[in-house]
Formats: sequence, structure tokens, C-alpha cells
Amino acid sequence: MKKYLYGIINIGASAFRMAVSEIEKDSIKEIDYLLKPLRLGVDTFSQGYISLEHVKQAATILRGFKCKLDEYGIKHYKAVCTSGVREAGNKDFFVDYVKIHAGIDITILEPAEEVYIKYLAAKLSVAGFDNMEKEGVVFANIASGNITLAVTKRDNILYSGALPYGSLRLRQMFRHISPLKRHRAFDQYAENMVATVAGTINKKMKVKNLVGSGSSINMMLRIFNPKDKFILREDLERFYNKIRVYTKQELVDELLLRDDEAEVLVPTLCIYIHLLKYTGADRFHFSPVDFPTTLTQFYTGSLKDRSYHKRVKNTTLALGERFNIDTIHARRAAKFAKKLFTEFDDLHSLDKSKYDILEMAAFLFQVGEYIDAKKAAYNSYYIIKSISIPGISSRDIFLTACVVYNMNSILNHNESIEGNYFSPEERLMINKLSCILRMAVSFDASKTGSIEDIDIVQNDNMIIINAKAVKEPFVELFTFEKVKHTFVETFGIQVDIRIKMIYD
Amino acid sequence: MERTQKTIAVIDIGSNSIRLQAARVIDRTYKVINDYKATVRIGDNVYKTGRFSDEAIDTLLQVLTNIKTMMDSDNVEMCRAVATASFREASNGQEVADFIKSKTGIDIEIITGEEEARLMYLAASYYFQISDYNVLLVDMGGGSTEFSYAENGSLIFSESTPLGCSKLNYEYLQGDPPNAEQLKNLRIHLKEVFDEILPKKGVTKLICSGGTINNISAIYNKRQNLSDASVKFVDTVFAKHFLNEIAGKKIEERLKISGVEPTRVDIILSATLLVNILLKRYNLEGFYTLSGGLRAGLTIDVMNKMGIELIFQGGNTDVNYARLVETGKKYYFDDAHAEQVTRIAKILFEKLQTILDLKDEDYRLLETAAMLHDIGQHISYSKHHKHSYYLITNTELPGFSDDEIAVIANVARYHRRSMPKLSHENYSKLSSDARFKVSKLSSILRIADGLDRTHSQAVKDINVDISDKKITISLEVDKNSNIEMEKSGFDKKKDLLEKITGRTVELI
Repeated sequence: MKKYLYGIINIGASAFRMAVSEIEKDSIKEIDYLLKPLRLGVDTFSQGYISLEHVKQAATILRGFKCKLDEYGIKHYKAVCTSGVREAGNKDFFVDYVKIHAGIDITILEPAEEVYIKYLAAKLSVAGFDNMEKEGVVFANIASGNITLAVTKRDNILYSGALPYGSLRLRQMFRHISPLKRHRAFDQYAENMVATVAGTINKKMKVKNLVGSGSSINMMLRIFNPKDKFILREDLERFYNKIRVYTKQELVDELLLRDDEAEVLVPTLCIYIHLLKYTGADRFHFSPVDFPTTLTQFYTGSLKDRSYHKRVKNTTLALGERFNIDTIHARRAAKFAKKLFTEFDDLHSLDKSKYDILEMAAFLFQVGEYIDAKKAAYNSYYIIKSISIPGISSRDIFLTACVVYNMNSILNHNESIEGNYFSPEERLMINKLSCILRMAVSFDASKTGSIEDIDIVQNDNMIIINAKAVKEPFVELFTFEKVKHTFVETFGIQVDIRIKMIYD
Repeated sequence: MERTQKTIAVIDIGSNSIRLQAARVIDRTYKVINDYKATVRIGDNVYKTGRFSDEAIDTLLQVLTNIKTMMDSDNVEMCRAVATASFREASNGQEVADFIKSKTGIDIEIITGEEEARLMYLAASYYFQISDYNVLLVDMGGGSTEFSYAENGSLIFSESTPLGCSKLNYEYLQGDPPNAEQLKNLRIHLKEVFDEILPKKGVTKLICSGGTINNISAIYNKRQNLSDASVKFVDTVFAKHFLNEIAGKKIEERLKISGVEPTRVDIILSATLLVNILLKRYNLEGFYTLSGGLRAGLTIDVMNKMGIELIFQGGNTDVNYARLVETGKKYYFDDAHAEQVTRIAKILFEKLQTILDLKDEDYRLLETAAMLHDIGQHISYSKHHKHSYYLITNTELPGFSDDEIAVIANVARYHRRSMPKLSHENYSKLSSDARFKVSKLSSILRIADGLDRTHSQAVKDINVDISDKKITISLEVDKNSNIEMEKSGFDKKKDLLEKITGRTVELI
């Protein structure tokens, strides 16, 4: 692989950062790093939008970054922003203004994407992370705007989300309270956050480790100067109890912190202590990798997620279980869907990545029944489009919801799903995947596993599904008859089924 | 999230239809997972000849064999199958039940009319606050009609009568269309039976069930563009109008009426007449229908026999409240927070009712929204107020009309984030009156929620002082409570109340 330069621009809630790195096959070498403080988050978290003055300042900083990129002759770069821009009411204006005035294209990271990238970086940089995951890990990235949290155990993401508990945000929220009492507000807020997260996780599911990352880690390292890559809870608590009533100036003077660091120290410590209490751990491990470096690794493809598929599968099924789905039925539907997708690759001509959408749809199509069986497909569509799965883009989640929505029909030209229109390619893809899914579900329509396996024989005029059944598949045959006509309409070829009974 | 999970099934073998309801028992509640119906009028021959015909027995066997397959698919662990009037009246009823058991393994229990009435009463007490009314329950089947009467929650009597709609149709309304004389004779007969067994007056709520009466309410709902729900209300004006509409029509003409089920097209007349006589007798504005009444009653009864007492059967006798708790539990809500927010909202409602020009009955809407405002978190914490709106809109809330549910869902939707805006579709599609109500009630809910921001129930009591320019709220809290977050929550959420009252809202 040829050596090349890559640029990352990270627009955070309290600062803009740029990293320029030299990328080679097995190495990333950072050759330049710029940091410009600009607290967009102060606007966003207090008034809901970024002031014009700050928009202009942002464009000025980014023009400077662009010059730097040009100086290096960098062709490949990525500029991303997180909650400071994502949550601003005028984010579109901001992105457009920066594009026009600084020539920088900004991508707004979705919360699920942000969690995923940060989690992955910690997983690959913290020694023993995989072992810790066996006992369960709370991964927390405390940034200025949000805390991104992922709670994982054995390749299953039990919880993930970007919660509005970032240190700068907390500081802004409670700016009117005197320093003597402010820590009590932080305390309550952090406790509330932990309760929110804990409420979504099975109480019997114990999670015993805490891993932290984020820009505050460097500050913590300077303060605690740990010999190993963890900080003990008792040290944290002792220190927190001492400094929690300090004014900002006292923190700056006594601990030699920057102003922006002094502002977020107390809420940061408070959050870590509450997360430690939740896990019952006596220490928290930290990832020393900062976000721009992580982003460089991610966008240059060096942050490889080897258990990606397994984790997405487990996480999707766990989501389904929250809505009381029949997991065995879902797994059977996914198994048949996979077989049909693979065997029909010349008919659908979809790339393999679309199988991920089909599999998620197979795992989740039943979720809507939990609300009400009468409008199950629509309910499922609503639930699926509202969830997030780390590592899966919101567009793919939405398309999964559409595949489920479309299970009882065929999307025609110019037809929308709830006002969402699609390109011809996407429309065809939805129709094809829906068609495969409804057929896969029909093979286990009675939910009894009557059909054990299928083989597919294809000739010019006809596809024959040879189904091996262990019990008479009455309901399966009845359902198949109802859905098979949609196969012809979707793929232009007849399909039929032959049953072969397998007796012990 | 551990829960008791068992799948149970009940089968209701009526004269006109056979119904299966499979339900998953989850803690102290249940969720229907399969509801199957086969409309087969096996009772017709019984009322003509006194026996099940061979054809009826074949049909019965075929349907119950299918039902057995479905139960196996649903992994049903416990089943109760009951048969009603047609089996009671058929001379070969027990013989047929034994035959079915030998072929399918389904043990059919032929229940008495009184048992049928008891089960119906059990179902009604699940859906209605029976203790607030003098309730007449009418379960009209094909062969018999069961009447139960309860005064303020005490069951006074249950009576099974041979007034089933198929039977009445066969005995009185044989013309097509029936002539005036036939209708008059049926009317006289019904009045005579009613005079004999029913109270002369005092009934304040009429609750009906049975497939044919439910067909009447389904037609009404369709014409009024209302959503499908287990409990429906039909007003007297419609009932009267509908009787006039079908009385002179031939069967083939009735078939053209949108919503009339073909299998009930003949017998719907006797059911409509019966219900009209009752409405007039008690001078009621309308009647409620309860679909799946017997099945709901059976399911509750089976659960009780398993040693499970449903939430509404506990010490809490407020059925509506019990249903709210049940709905909240389904979505894993924080019950202590929901109850605290409801408590604070109630105090605020009482204090602010006059200046907000709210009616007493509006509190029910606020109470429901307060209890359910956070259920959307089950889908996702992010935008959970919108998910709460969706779930409330799509969850059955017995006792509320569609318009009321729309208000409740909107009040819950505005418990956080944006204030109501006309650019929001959910808000703009409400009537002007409903929009005002949503704004006022959500202004209360926002503050109540803010005052339990930490879900710690730190606020013990509140006091509200209202002057021309200011609303001052003072809190009573435990000595050691830390309420910084509640104060911050209050400040964040007082905006709507300030806007609609034109007063500043302060916390002291």
C-alpha cells in the first residue's frame, strides 16, 4: 500500500481539532495536530442554536485548517462534528456556511456512529478489554456535550447511546448554582443518568468493569499520574470530596489546569464515580487514544471490528427480546432468508452488504406485535426506525424498517412509505428483500419448525423449493400459497414448493 | 426484565362462532398473541331440531382440529374450552363434546348460563369502573342472552334467558323482510321478559357483548370513522336510526349496508331491537359494547385459577388506574416516578383549574398522560416523548374516546422539549378546543415532571399562590433532600404555563 497523508477535523462542543497523519499499510503516524478552542456547545446547550458570531468564528478556524490541508497537499480528509453542532437548531445553516466560507464538507456523526467508533477504539487500545467484556463492560466517553455509553457483555451491546450528560453541558446547566452546592446537582444528575441506563438493562445482568475515554482523560492523567492504565476508585473519591467545592479559579491555581479543564473537572469526576458505583468496580481503566486519532484509524480502515457481525446479530436479537419476539421463529426466518438470498443472487443482483438489512429485518419483524397485533407491520416499522444499533447507519436501520413495513405489499413506482420516497434502486432493493423475507417467514409460518431445511432448484421457467419437513407443514403451505405470487411480480419467475417428509 | 411467561388459551364455542384466544401471561397481566375466529352457525340446527346435525359436527371437528394446531404452534400450556347455549340445548351436546375430545384432545366444558354471566361480569369489571354505576350486562349469543345486574359493584343477579338472536330470529322474524306484526310480537315478548327479570329503572350503564351486538357497534364506528377497540360506545340516536334503517329491508338489501357481516345479516335485526328496547326502558344516551367479553372473562378466570390476581383485582379498586399501571408495566415504566408526577399534576390541576378554565373531567386525561408520559422510553430514550405519543395513540385505553386518546397522547408528547406548535402534525390535526386543552394540560404535566426530575420523589407537597401577574409554587421537601435538579427541571419546564397564563411562574 502506498504511503499517503490523511487529515481529520473534529468539531467538538468545546474545541476544534485537526490531525494530519501519514498512513502506511500497518501504521499511522501523526505528523501534525492543531487545537483551537471554540465552545460551540455553550450556545447549543444553553440556547439551542449556534450564534452567528460563533458560526463565523468556526468558519475562520476551519479556513485555517483548510490552508493547512492544502499546504500538506492532502486530498483525503474527513471533517466530522458531534453534539455541539448535531443538537443545534441551525446545524444545516452551520454546515452550509462552513462549506461556502471555508470549503470544508462536514459530516454530522449520528450518536450511534459516534458510540460505535469510540467503543471500537477503546476495545482495540485497552489491554484486556475482551476479557473484561466477558464480565461486562461499561464504556464511557465523557465529552463536553455528551457522554457516549456502551454497555457490553459477551459480544452483546446491552445498551448504547449518547446521553446529554457531557461535562460542559452539565456545567452550563448548573452555572447559576454556587460552587458550594453545585456538586450536589451534578451528583443528582449523574445518579439519574445511571438509573436511566440501568433501567434498560436486565437487573440480573451484572456488568463489572468500567473503561473510560475522551478528552478529559489527559487531564485526569496529569492529576493522578497513575503508574498503570487505571485509576483507583478510592483515589477518585478522595480527590473528588476534596475539590468538589472549589471555584474554577482555585482549580486553575491549585491543579494548574486550563480554564476549560477546570470547568469540567468536577462533573467529570462525579460521573466516573457514579459509573463505578453502578459497576461495583474498584478502578476504571482508560483508553489513552484521543478522538481525532480514533477517527483517523476508523476512516482509514485500520480500526477493524472482527466481531462486528456477531455483535450486531446479538444486539439485534436482544432488541427483539425487549419486545417479546419469538426468538426461535426469528432465527429460523433469518436462516431461510439467508439461504434464499444466497441462492437467488443472480436474481436479485444485490451486493452482499444488503444481507445485513435482510437479517436485521428477519430478527425484528415481529416487534410490532408487542404494541398491538392488529397493526403489527406498521408498529414494527415505527419501532425499528426509532432504534439505533452501533455500527449500523441510520439509513440502513430505516431501510430495514421499510423492508418490514413492505412485507405485506409491493412498493410501486412513485409510492412512498409514510411520505418517504426512494430512488428506483432503493425501491427495488426494498421490494426484493421484503419478498425474500415474506417467503422465508412462510417456511416457518406455524412457528413450530415443521420445515427443517430447504433446497432450491432453479431452471429457466421455474424455481422449485424442496422443503424437508419433520411434521406436516399445513400452515406453511397455506402461507406460501398466499405469498408466492409476489415472487413472480418481484423477480419475474414462478416459484413453487415440494415437501419431502423426513421421518425418524 | 424477568417475567412470568406462560401461554394459555381459551376457546369459546358459541352458536354462531367459535373463537380461540391465546394469551401470554406476563406477571400480573396478559397479552393476547392469537385471536382466531371461525363464523360457523352450528347452533342453527339445534334451534330447529334440538340436535347438532352431522354437518354441524363435521364443521365443529374441522374448526377445533385447526385450533388445536394453532395452540400447538403457540406452545399453549393450559387451555379451557367452554361451550354455551347450543350445547346446553342440544340433546346430543355432551355426546358431541365427548366425540370432539376423543378426536382432538380438547375438553369441552358445557357451562351454565349463570357461569357465562359470571365470566362476562369478570370481563366487564376488567374494563369498567363497575363500582361507580348500576350496570346491566347483556351478553347476547345466538341461543341465549345472559343478563347480569350490579349496583355499585355488587352483583345483584345473573339470569340466563332464551333470548339469543338466532333463536329470536327463528321464532319471531321469519319474513323477509319481517312484517310489522312479527316485529310487534317480538317487541311484546322482549318487554314481557324484561318486566319479569330486569329492574324497572335505575340502570345507569348498559354494557353489551356478543358477536351480533358487536357488529352493530362496528358499523357505528365505521360510519363515525372511529378506531377499532375492545370497548366501543354507541349512541342511542344511532341505535334508533339503525333499527329503522334495517327493519323494513330484505336480507339482500341489508347485505349492501357497509359493515354488516354476511353471517349475521338476518339476526342483526333481533339484536338491534333488543338493545333499543333496553335503551328506551332506562332512558340511556347510549350503550357500550365489549368485544371478546367471554374470552376476557375466561382468560382472567384461568389466570385466577393459576393463582394470579390481575392488577385490577388487587387492593386498588380503581379499574382505570389499574389499567394505566398495567399499560405502564408493559412498557417497563418507572412506576414510582409516574405516580409522583401524577400526584403533583393533580395538585397543580386543582389549584390552576380556574385560571386555566379546565373542567373536572379533564383531570382524567391529565392523569392518564401523567402516568404514561415516559412509556416511550421502552422504544428509545432519545425522542421518548414522541414514542410515548405513538404508543398511547396505538394502545387500547378503554373508557376513552378516540378524541380523548388524541389529547392524552399529545399531552404526554409535550411533557418535554418543544411546546405545542401548529407545525407539528400531531397537534395541528386536533380541533381548536382540543389544542387548547393539550396546551393547558401539558403545561401542568411539564412542571410536574420537572419537579421529579431525579425520579426520587423528593417533593412531598406543593403549594400554589396565584396573583394577577405571578404564579408562585412552594415546595415541601424532606430536610435532607437535595432538590437542585428539581429546581432546574422546574425552570426548564415552566415556559408553557407562563406562556398560556401570561404570568411569571416562580419557585420559592
